[in-house]
Amino acid sequence: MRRPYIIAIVLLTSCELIVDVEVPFEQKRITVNSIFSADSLWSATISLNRHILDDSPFEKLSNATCILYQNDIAIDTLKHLNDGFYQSSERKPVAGNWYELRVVSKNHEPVKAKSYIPDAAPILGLEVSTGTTVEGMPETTYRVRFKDDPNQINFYQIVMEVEDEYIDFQTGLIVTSRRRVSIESHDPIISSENENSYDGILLKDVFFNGKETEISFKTMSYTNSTATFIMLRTLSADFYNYKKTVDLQGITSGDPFAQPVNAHNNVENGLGIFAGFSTSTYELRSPVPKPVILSISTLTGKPGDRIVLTGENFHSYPHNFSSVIFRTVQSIAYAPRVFFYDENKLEVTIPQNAVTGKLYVRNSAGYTVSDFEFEVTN
Amino acid sequence: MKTLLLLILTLVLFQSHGQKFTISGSIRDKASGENLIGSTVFNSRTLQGTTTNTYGFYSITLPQDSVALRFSYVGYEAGSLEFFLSKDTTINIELASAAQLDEVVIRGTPDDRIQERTVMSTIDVPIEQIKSLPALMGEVDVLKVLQLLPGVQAGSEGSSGLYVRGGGADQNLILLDGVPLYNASHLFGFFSVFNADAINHVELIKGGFPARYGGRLSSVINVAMKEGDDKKFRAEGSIGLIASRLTVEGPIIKDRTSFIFSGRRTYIDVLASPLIKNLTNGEEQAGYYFYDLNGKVNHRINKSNRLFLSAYTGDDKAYARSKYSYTLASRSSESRDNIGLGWGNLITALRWNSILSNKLFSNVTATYSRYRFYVSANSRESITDFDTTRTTFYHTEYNSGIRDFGIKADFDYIPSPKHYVKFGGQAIHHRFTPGVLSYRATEIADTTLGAQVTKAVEFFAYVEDDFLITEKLKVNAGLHLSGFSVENKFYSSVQPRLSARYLISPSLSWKVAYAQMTQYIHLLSNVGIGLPTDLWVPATAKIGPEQAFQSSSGLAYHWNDNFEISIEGYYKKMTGLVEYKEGANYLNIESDWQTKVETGTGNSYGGEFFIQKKKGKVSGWIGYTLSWTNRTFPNINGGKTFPYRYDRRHDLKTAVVYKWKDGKDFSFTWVYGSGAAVTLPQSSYSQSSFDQHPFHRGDQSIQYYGDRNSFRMRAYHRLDLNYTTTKKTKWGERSWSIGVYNAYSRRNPFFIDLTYDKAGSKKFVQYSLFPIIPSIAYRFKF
Repeated sequence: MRRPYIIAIVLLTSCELIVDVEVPFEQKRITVNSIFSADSLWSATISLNRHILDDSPFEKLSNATCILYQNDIAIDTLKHLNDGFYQSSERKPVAGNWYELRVVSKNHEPVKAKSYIPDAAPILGLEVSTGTTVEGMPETTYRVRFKDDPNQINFYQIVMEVEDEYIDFQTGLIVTSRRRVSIESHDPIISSENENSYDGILLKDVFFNGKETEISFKTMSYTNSTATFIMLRTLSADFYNYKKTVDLQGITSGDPFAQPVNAHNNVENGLGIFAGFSTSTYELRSPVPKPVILSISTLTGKPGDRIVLTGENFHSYPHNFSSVIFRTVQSIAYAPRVFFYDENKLEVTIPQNAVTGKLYVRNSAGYTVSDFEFEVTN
Repeated sequence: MKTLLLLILTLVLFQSHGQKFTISGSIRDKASGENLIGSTVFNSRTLQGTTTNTYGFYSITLPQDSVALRFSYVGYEAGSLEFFLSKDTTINIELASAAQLDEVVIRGTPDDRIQERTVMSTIDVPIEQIKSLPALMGEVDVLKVLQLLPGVQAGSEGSSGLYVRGGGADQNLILLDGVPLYNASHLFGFFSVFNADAINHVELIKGGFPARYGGRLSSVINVAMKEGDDKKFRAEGSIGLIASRLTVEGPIIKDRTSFIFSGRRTYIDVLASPLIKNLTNGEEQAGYYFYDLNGKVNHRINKSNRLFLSAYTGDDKAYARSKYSYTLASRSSESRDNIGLGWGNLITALRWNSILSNKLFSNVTATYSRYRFYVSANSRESITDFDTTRTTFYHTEYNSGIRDFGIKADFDYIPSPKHYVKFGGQAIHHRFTPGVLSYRATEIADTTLGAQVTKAVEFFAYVEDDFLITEKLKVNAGLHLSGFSVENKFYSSVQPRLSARYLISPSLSWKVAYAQMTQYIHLLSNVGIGLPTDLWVPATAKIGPEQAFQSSSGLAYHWNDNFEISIEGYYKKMTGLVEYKEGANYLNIESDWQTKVETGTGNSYGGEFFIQKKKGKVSGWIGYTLSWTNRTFPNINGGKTFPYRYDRRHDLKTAVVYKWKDGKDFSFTWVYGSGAAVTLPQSSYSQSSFDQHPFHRGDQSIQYYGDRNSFRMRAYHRLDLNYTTTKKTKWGERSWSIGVYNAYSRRNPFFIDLTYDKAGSKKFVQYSLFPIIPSIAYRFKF
């Protein structure tokens, strides 16, 4: 609201002048990017920074020595795999510990970074309710309950992932994938910087230090997903500050009147981030198992014919019934009309563009593929 | 004595048995009856003197003897009077302006000389000089003239913000007839609200604040409005490129009641509006304007009582309206959208001056003031399908503001020529509305978001004495006590004030000063260029008041009866300063502002050199400042001290008015300031790909900015010229003023941005705001 006016004034009257600003840039510095959690191997990406007016890709370092320390004792060396990516062979971080990563590379100043991996905060409960947005779109509200550790300042991140199943058109196989979805919160406990965000909700324990708390957030309803994962991460201060400041830099960098924000950097003599986090996950799955196809009324038919499938779990949670899917030349087709249904029986018509192939039945828990092929005649 | 001098002598008898008697009265302009603030009364027999206060009142107590009084004021013909003092005497005197005499080069008169005053760091600029200097687009601007003084930074190009001795734009106590003004700018800071035609006197205090002032850290800007000619009707005005002004004044009851009324309005919207309407077939309308209205009525109840009622109101308004309609088959639709933005001040003051005795003068003022800012948008759409009409609407409005009620009493007590005592107090009731968003729409209940209204009471009491200890040593010592009550929290502060001068020789003195100031309100600004969206908030239970400690020392020299020269050094420390957290945004008003700010400290130190010539064929000044200004916030810049945005190492300012011939004046100003401090990215590095959206993964970079404000932009310099030719006409006087802003079109830096040139390589580009801008204005007076 504020900027368009200023920018309008500037555009009306301004003149541009390309100036040479002398940027002090003595030598390139090592950038360390290493985020670690208890579930994964140690890894780090090592690269070099570049002059601000330089737009070439970041130079990756393949000859660096990355040694991991715990209480000043070297515990592991990360090996270079490819393109500046280093990984431990088997060692994983342990929650509650401090670690230090020291990186040495010829011709560059050695760097080191220290951070810890906080303990996970178990999710004590989750409530789900559905409603509609102002625009009439379905949305789901979640209330996640957990207890804050009173002994320290804690930083949390709540993210949500959904599991989707889809049919690979080429192979006909059922593929499972997991993706992050955006969530937003208007919970007064959270400061206002949480828009509908891919990065979820970031919060500090200032308002609930040492107490059990409940955070609410919402998403659009992902009715086609087979599972939802609510992940409560406890972040190290470094990771929290890094996320916050990188985000702020993104917001302010296009605005010449805003005060620029430096990203949080905990790499001594260098740049980047070395920080840990822990996760506790709450999984929501359909209470109904996947459908089971037991028999079919006929194994051939032409588009428009009716077929009857018998089996189990032909209903979805909470109130829909299963769909029957046929293959087509390029894609798949849902059987258009269900004439009869119950938990064990579905009667549908064969779609117009269906071709010979396996049949699929889908309920809220996912797809089931038939073990027979259905022949479509013309 | 001079025949043109008119003396009114009123002798009042008092029974008195003492050896000393008091002479008191007022000094006013002969032609208009305006008070001459700061005129000198000097007895050449005893070498004692005094000056008139803000209301033109003076009082001097002398031994029973013959006296030779001299009454003088800059730019006015002095008056003298000799008589034998044997009783308390009232002398009301009127002096004639030198401009009204035939061209005579006035010899210097023993004014209130710079070396003899105890106050330091104080500059007043004659209003005629302000009007003669070049102005952006021909709009005479009082605050922009103050920017030409040493120790004052102008902020960004074209803005009327004042940054005094390293202080912020919110740390200036801008008093219009004694009432504080919160936002003194129009058009996003390009013009200030003061209409020079309605102003009598302007004074800037940068340090060594007398005890009577308080509530802001860095400066006091005293603007006194004219009182209105009580002898005859007069009018003056101007027609300029931006705005036109008209001032009328005159007696309601001759010599008893007078009024002044002054207005100004811009008219770009009036000219542009039909154009926009035509171009859009009447569908769209947009415009912007601002106006000011000043009015004052003053009434002499009797010889010792006067009543004043003054008011100022000014608003900025920007608007855009659109109206669209279509008809498609059986459906017709009509929609109207309105967007508005505005801000403005309203202040009123009712003042009662009373001469309680010939040694005691009182001034009681009741004030009301409010400042508000709003942005609003509303939309209404009606869709008619066959016979049914459905209307939807929404209305959002964002408001912020302050409303004050105040009462103030000031007393001047002059027991002897060795003492000038001032004491008094003030109480203000504030009501802060720091950003409220309200939303109303079809089928949605009214919603209001944002910070709650905060009420607070601020008060202070003071006493000071300007005390001549020996002929050489004079001290102004005072105490200012203030308090602020907010949210069940009470803040109080005891502020000692001291300034002193020691005469090394009759024309040279050494001065020292120390002042402590407390400020109970903060201005939240996330752009730092003084926009109306900046938010005024009170000190609260969580965020305390700001404080400043300033000491200064320097030499003052009166050279050749014509030049006032001062050289000063100062050191200022400020605590409790407030800034937005990194990246916080005012529009995000869902959360309380208190969670979005950081507090820290600042310091500023440096030296100022100033040479000023107030009268003569050539008048003006040269000011040079060498200064350092820093800020330290525990949570900003990693806790490291950084230069303030308006930290300027070298700063040189020149303002010269040359009276070439009768009615023909040349003037120029030239300013030079070393580059402003900015933050620029130095390098970029790879962003962690963890948690990144798959769409961006692997190609994101982070910019590394180094320390805050660690770069300097190019030096700023600018030459402005003005030529005015004035001619007497049958009906009065008219003048043409031709001016050039930025005469050699220096591309001064406004901001630097990172961008790509045509060849696709990354470059830093500096944007400038104003190239050479000519202007012309027509002024008249009758």
